[in-house]
Amino acid sequence: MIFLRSDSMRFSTIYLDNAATTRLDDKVLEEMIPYYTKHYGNASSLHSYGYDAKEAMDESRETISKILHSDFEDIIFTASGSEANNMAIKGLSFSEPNKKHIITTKIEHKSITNQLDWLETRGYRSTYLDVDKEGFVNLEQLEKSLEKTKDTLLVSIIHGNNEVGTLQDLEKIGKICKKYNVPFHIDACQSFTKSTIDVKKMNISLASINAHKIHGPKGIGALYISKEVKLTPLIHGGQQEFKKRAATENIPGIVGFAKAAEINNSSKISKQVTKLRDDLIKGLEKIVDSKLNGPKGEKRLYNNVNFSFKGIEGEALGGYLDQKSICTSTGSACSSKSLEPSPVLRAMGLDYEDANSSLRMSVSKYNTEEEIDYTIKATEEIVQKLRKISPIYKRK
Amino acid sequence: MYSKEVLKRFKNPKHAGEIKNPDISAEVGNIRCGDVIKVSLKVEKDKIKDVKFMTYGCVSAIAASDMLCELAKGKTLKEAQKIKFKDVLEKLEGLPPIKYHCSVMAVEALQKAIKEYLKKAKESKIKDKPKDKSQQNKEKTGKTLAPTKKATEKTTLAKLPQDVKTQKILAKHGVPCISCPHVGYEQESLTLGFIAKAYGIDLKKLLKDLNK
Repeated sequence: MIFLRSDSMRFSTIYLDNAATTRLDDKVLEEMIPYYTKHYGNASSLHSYGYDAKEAMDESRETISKILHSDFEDIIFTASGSEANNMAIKGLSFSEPNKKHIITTKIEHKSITNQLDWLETRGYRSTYLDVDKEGFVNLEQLEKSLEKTKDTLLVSIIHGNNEVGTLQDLEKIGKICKKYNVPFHIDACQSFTKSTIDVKKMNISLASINAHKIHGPKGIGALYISKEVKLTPLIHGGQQEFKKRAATENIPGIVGFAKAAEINNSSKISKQVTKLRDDLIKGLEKIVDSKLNGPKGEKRLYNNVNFSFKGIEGEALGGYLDQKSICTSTGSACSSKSLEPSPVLRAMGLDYEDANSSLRMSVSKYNTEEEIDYTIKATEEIVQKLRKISPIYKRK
Repeated sequence: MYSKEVLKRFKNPKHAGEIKNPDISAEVGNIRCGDVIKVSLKVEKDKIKDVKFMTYGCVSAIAASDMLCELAKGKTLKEAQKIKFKDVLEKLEGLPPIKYHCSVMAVEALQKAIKEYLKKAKESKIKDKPKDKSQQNKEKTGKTLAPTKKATEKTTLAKLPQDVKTQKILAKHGVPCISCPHVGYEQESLTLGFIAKAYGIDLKKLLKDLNK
């Protein structure tokens, strides 16, 4: 089977896995390089190289805190989003040893769920909130759970879901948490700069963010920590990060993070990527027996597309797309260790077939309309090919 | 992650599709596991003249199905009955351990088809297969083996006690072959040591629980 791709087209890889990680923006790299080669001082040193580093770090912290509407000193740089998530939950658990109950949702990232599994072995209890068919958290259940227990350590909720793109209503959740005076943590690794986060207005106590999902470097993240919560550090050592996280600061990473955030915090990029997303959704919806997973419009991450195609398995589809140099991602049974299909899709009520038949495509500003058109055509062709050899398609 | 052979088979499977008016076809797997494999056969004078597969499954499942057909084509039924999942694995130049079950399922689909064909043939009293009986007897004796007293890494699934308690222990340790109802034909060759290695299960803990 040959797919004719017009020769005039650029024949390079089409990267549609931007929810996994993104290409570093050239402008970000440019900004970072001098902090490796020229201003490479340690921000704690008392000499000009040290001051340069400190100044660059302060500016970066300022940039990021403004985007989150937080105070300067409430942003703590970490080495990743996963570290930020661990610092939020474990750090708080060390400070509040009598609070043994954690509320979260059934659609969290592994850096939350695996942490809770571990905490459960140490006497903690977790409540996993249900979600509806579009992935929105059941807020009645949240309120009931808060009412019922008096020892809730925190409520931890993923803002923009990494698989299906559902954006939770932070303002509503924040209000509920405030009513019961329980800290509210959000995992905003997918949503930072893509959807508005106002930590004060939304009553957010802790927010995990990172750089590599927004064309920034890998190995740098941050945790917003409201002054109302006290965290015990996970890493003890020097006095860095307001004594909340020891370790020599990753200045090039921090500078790159801030630059990436500044560039990505733009309505122009938001509009551009939203259009690519919606064109891709429109094109894939035209394939017979296909179904979009997650919501449409503003309540969906602007870069996320997730579809189920009846009668075929997601990884096989991803495998054939890869043969055509299109990078996508699957959360289906076969790619995970458990051999169970995506818990997120199952929590949204998808049956085993639809959950196993899903594929995620996540776009970025570097994708073009041409690439989207090509991807739609290639997907349709592969879906048909796989259905021809599917023993389960259309026999019901 | 995948060998060249796996990708080659996956990209251009030679035996995908359905045989029109097959002599027999058989299906294994379920959607919950994410794989369903169907094999159809054309048999002539006890030889597999043609074999094709239909597969709902991942890259490995499609590659394993295709390789299985390649191995089975042209063989006598008796020869084909000797094909094991390890043969498929070997010919594919390996699969990631978590995908071993794909090769197990492909082989099982073939074995199920052959078994059903032989049963059908026997029922319609075509008596040109004297080897039939001995084969079936072998299977019977294999399945009635008494459970071993102490489980070791060399113990096969077939030799474990077939009770709820054992099932629960296996499930607790995440042995996927147990929740999968289709490992019948490979129960005698799947050892605990092999499964533990394939799925990253702590063998020591598993054996400790089984031998309690």
